[in-house]
This record gives sequence, structure tokens and C-alpha cells, in this order.
Amino acid sequence: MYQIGVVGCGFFARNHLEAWGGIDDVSVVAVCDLDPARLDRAATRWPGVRGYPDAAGMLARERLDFVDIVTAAPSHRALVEQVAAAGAAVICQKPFAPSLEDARAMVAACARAGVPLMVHENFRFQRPILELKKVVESGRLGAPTYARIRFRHACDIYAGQPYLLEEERLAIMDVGVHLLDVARFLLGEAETVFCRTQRIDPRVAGEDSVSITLEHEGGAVSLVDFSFATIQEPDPFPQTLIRIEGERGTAQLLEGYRLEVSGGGVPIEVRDVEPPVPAWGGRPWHLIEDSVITIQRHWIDCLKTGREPATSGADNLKTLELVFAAYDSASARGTAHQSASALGTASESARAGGGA
Amino acid sequence: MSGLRGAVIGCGFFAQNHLKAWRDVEGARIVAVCDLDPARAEAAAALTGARAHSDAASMFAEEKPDFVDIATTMEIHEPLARLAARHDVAVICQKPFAPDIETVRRILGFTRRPIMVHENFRFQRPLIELERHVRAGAVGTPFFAHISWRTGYDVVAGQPYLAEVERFIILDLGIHLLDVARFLLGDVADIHCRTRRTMPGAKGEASAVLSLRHLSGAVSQIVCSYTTRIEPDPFPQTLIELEGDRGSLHLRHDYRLEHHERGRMTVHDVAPRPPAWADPQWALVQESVLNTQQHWIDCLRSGREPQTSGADNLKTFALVEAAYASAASGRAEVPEA
Repeated sequence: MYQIGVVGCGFFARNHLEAWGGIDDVSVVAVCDLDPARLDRAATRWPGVRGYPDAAGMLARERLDFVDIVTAAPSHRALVEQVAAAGAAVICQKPFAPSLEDARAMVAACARAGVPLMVHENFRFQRPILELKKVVESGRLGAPTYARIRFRHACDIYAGQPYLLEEERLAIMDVGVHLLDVARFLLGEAETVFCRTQRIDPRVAGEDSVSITLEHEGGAVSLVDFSFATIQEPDPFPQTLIRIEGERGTAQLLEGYRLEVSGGGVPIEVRDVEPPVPAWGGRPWHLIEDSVITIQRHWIDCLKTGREPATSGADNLKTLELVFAAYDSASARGTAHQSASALGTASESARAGGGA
Repeated sequence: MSGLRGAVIGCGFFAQNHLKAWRDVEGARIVAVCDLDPARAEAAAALTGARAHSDAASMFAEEKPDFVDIATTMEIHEPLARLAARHDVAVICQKPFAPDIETVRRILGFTRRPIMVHENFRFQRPLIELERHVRAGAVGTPFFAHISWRTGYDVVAGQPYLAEVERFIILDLGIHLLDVARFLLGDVADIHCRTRRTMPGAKGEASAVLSLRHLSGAVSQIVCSYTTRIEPDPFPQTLIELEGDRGSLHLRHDYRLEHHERGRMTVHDVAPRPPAWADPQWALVQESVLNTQQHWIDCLRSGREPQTSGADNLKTFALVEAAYASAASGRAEVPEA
């Protein structure tokens, strides 16, 4: 039985806790939050779990196999270093870090302590994307040549997370990081990054519409585009829509969890790849909720077998390099190479003309 | 019969659409057709009731047309336009206007009479309707477009010379989409482009991914491919997502135009209304040829500048050059019209 401590009991942590509750051989024994009201709520839902106001106290008193860190990015480095020093393994929410320096320091700290580290990068664990990956790996499409990865919506994400309005680095950091990880997952490492950013909603400080062009090793070109200001009825949020073309065929992940595969002279194949709705969840969040269960099961499998998690800290460094290369490109108006990951100071933002 | 007297030079593959469309254009008729191949000229003459010629210079001298429709490949557009200028004849010229922008500038330099490029995508009914909605404020201020034209249709079978060209899909097809991007979102500040040689046996690029920043601040993506394996194949349809601060328009397969607003989605049928002679697979293109030619005649008769005048098309051509420059440099390039 793995003993777990969870740090952070906010908005998204509920998914983690509910998912742990349904996984065999694990037990959340302690939770930690700066806010006593949140601790009380967690204690009510999970009787017997001990609550702590700070991580140091929790680590001193509990014997934990691993700690699941579900806080905002700026707090990650200090927490990961404390947990690693205490000898426990670490899961850390995304975005992993606000800078590559922090991310590298966390990877190094866990390596020194000899503890596994996984970033809770859950998009690639969404059922539709796992099914799409299987199609690519089956060879049915031939070698990938092109992809478009699209996440455009106008769901009011600011109501639940008002701090997003103030973020200088908004959409790439919040959802772009997921989509760039999906691009790596499906098409391999990216060699160049070109990025354009826009600020459409006058209430936001950062970029809320982004178009990124990637060139992957092996030659495929992909477009990764996302927006928080795209009006569609019905709104596909939170679905990622993907088209991948290979030399022999095309696979499309369409709205409503429809996976279509065609080309190569065989009949068009259409499949429903909607994930199940967890007992504690509901539509349309089940896509995310199911992916949280899947990634946390993956972590347990890796702990049991000694394998490296698919989204280990070391792996996630490559995704973060793309994030910072995208900001760099947007501010430099040029193509950033993945190796040249100097931080841009501000994203290029331009209002569509005509606004006030 | 009244109206303007026209001549068609070049009676090959695509010119068949021009010839058939001229029969339906109001305000003009074709009096002469010209091709180096006498058999092709005779066939065109039989189709239109015009006189057949095999030499352009003597055709101009003998027929004294009001305008000439140059429907040849781009390599001989310049000498034919020069001949038309010498005879003081207005010109409608097929796209691409010329193999490179220097030639375009030379043609515009010696041309004094009206000149229009037969840039027909923006005259396709779905695109006319899409632009009409945008102009009417259906999406508010546009900020984004994704323009897709990806097919497995064998373009080289009908036009074998395409396998030999160094500049393949951007100059042949991308040029239309760049013009559509200008049509919908206005002129372009800079362009980024990645190309791939995805067609075995073809020298040039058969697929491209472009990212444009418009002067308005809007961003558009243009993706085109001749090597996409998909069913149903949307050829020859252009599929578009266009977004503004108050709504979106999606031009989908089979001429379905969706208008998305908050809380409401409306679907419009924007299928082409093809002329009687159209082939079902080519109806979209053939109707646009008729629309393009009618626009040219309407402009000639009223003295208006055509939408796709030579001067306007120079801006589209500058995007083609900037796209190839970006494909080579890896950086965004500024178009220089």
C-alpha cells in the first residue's frame, strides 16, 4: 500500500483525490494547504486523512511513499526539492515550472535523491488521444507528414480561475503546454518553433489566441493553434481536435469524440472514442477526469515496475523548452530553435484591428 | 450582336472552361481564338463560333479585339501582354500572372489599358458568400482564419509540366489561397512558410504550411497539399474557419456555411449554381470562371477597376515570393509589392 501526501487542495486537486480514491494499493494519508477552509473540506470528504498547514510539517510527521503536488507553478521548485530531500517520490502538476532553470533544478534534485519524478501532464492520457496514438503506431497512415492540433473555445475559464486574467503569459503556459506535449507524443521531437500570439479579449493581460508551427524530426510539419476567444455553438471545450496525415492515410479526431481514419484504399473507419464518465464526475469534464485516473494509474504501474513515467520530469523538460521557444519566437518574430531557449520578456500581442 | 469583342489566346486544358463560359457572359462575345496547335484552335472556333488563328500577332492585326483573354501557361504571358499593349487592347490574364514578381512588375510597367488577372477562387460562390457575411459584420472584427486545401487528386495527370517545376504548389494553388486570405482579412504584414517535397517524382514542393500576420493584426494559417490521402476527398473545395470577436464562420465540406454566434448556429447552403455545361466535379471552378469573366466585362463597361486587377494581383504575388523566401530562410518575411 503506497502512502500518499497531497499538497494543494484547490480547484483541480479534487480530481486527483477522487482518482486516488478509486485506485488499488494506494492510500491518501495526508493533505496540505495554506487555507484552513480547504483543509476542512478535504477532511469532511476524506475522514481519517490528516491535514497540515505546510508541507514541511507534513513531511516531518508522515512516512510517505510519494507526494502529489497540485499547486501553481511558482511554488513547485521549493516543494519538489523538500519532498525529494525527504526521500519521497514526486508527482508535480503542470505547468511544471515558470522557468527552465526551475525545471532543470527539480529534475536534478530528484535525480540526486534517487526518487522518481513525474509531471501530471494529462492531455496525452486522454482516451481519444491515446486511441489516435494507436492508429499512428499501427502504421496505417504511413510516416506522418502533417498535423493540426486545435483547441479553440470561448468557455469562461476566468470565472473559476480569475488569476488567469492577470497572467502576462496566459494561453501558451495554460493550455499550449499540453498541446505541445501532444505534438511531441504524436509526431516526435520538434526541431523548430514559430509562434504568433494575439490578445483578443480586452480583459486579459496575456495572449489568448496563438498559432504555432512546428517542424518535427522525421520531417512532419504541425500546426498547434488554440484560443480562449473562439465562439462556436456548440462549444467543443474541452476537446482537442486533431488531424494527422501520413503518406498513406489521414486520421481525424473530430467533435463529439469521433475518430475517423481513411485513405489507403480501405473503407473509412469511424469510431466513438468518448471516455467513460467516472462515478464522481460528469460531462464535459469526464474527458479530463478520466485522463487524471489514467495518468495516476500509469504512475503506480511505473512505481511498481521501476519504469520511467512517460511524462517524467526529464521528458517534460523537452515540452517546456517548446513553451519557452514559442514565447521567444512570438517576441522575436523569428523561428526559435529548440536549443535556443532564451526567455522572451513579453509575448508579442496585437489586438485585431478596429477594437476600442 | 452588341457588346465587347474578345479574343482568346491559348486553347488548352483549362481554357476550355474560359471558352464555354464566354458563351454565357453578358456584354461580350468571342470573335477570335488562337493556339499554336491549329487543331486546338479549330476546335475552339467550333465551340464559340469565332475565327481560328495560330499566330497571335496576325490575330491582333486582323481582328482588332476590345480585349484579349490570355489562357496560356505563365511563361508566355509577358510577350503576349506586350503584344496586346502594342495593339492597345485590354487584357485578362490567367494566373499565375508570371513566373516571378520581376516579370509581373515589367508587365504592369508597359500596360496602359485595363488589365485583370483571372484569379478565380474569390469568385467561387462559397467564398463570395463567406466574404459577404464577414463584410456584413457576422463575426464582428475578424482575428483568425484557417484556410485548408488538401487533396490527393492527381493534378499532374492533367498538367504533366507541374512535375518539373521548382515552384510547385504555392505558385500553382497556394497563390489562390493567399489571394483568398487577402480577400477575407486584408493585406499582409509578414508571412512564415514551411514546405515539403511530398510527391515522389515531382521536383517542387507538394505541400506547404503558411502563417500570416495581416496589417489588421489578424492571423491566418494556410495549409495546402497535393498528397493528402483522405476520404471523402474535398477536391476542389477550400475549407475555411474564420473567427471574429462576435462569432465564427465555418465553410465546411459540401458547401455548408455555418455561422456560429453565442447561443446560436445557423447553416447556409452555399453550393455553386453552375452553368448548364458544367461537369459536376468541376462545377465550383467552372461557375467561378463564369463569375470572373462576367466581373471583367462589367468592369470594362463601367470603367471600374477589377477586384483582381494587375496592381491588386501584384500584392498577392508578393506573398508568393515572400512565402518562398521564408521557406528558404526559416524566418518570417515581409512581402514587397
